[in-house]
Amino acid sequence: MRSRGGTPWLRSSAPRGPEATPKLVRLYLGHPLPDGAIDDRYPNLVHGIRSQTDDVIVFGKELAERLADHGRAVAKQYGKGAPAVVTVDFTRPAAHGLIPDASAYSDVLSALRGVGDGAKDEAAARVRI
Amino acid sequence: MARNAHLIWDFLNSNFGTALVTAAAGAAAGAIAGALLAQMIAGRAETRSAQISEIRSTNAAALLAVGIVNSFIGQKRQFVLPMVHDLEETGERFTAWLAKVQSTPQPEPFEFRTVFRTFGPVQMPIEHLREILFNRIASDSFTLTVYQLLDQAIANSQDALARRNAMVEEFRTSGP
Repeated sequence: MRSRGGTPWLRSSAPRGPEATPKLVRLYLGHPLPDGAIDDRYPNLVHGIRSQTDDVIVFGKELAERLADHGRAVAKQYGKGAPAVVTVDFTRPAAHGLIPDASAYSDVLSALRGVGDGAKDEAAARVRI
Repeated sequence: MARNAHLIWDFLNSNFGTALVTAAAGAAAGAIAGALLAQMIAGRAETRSAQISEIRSTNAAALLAVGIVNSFIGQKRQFVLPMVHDLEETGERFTAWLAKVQSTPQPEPFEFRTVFRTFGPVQMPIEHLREILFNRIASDSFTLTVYQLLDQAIANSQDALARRNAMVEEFRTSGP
């Protein structure tokens, strides 16, 4: 991950009084500007990045676990001497609160599981997310 | 003609003829069984080879998915959560400050302590993962649909990161 440094000038203080709050603070927080307009792109982007990061973690984890299950099923069919199947274990990041709560995704994932666990492939196109 | 048929019938009923027919039938049955067995063994070897290939490709795909997840977990811990926390903490302080200055003739200035950090979108092996899932293993509908959701979430995340970085640059150039 690439990171570029901070900007010391942003550690400034606003002039006194709420009406004189710098535009930067208002843009950062999405508070109304002096002319009454609201530009909340920045806080929206921040919350969007958090939400999308969680999406990637949840869907990536589901995919990895599903693939590991599939690998184990094929290894069982093969029998003795099958290649080792990778183990997917996210207990450590989960213990640190870095794996999103699965309940937030339960509707989507249970709908998909219903399709994947027996229904025909063309049913995938009918899944509503 | 009838005489020839009679001679053949007599020959087949002779001891030698019976032995010859039995041997021929036995050899034919053996050959057929051998061919079937060879075909079965070849088919079984092919199936086992395909199963090994399936397991290896599945392992590769699972590791790619784990790598993507780990990358985003790291990004969340190092960058996303501090960024969200800073936004929320600043918002709470700003709201408290606004309430305080209403009743204070000479209020203290609001201390804006945010240090903007920008992160470039990280390249993810999503195309490699796609190639394995769609072309090299027997993926079911669930797997392919979750892959599509993952692909879309990565694209959305990278787009949002790029747009935030652009806004931070805008903040830097415009000043407080």
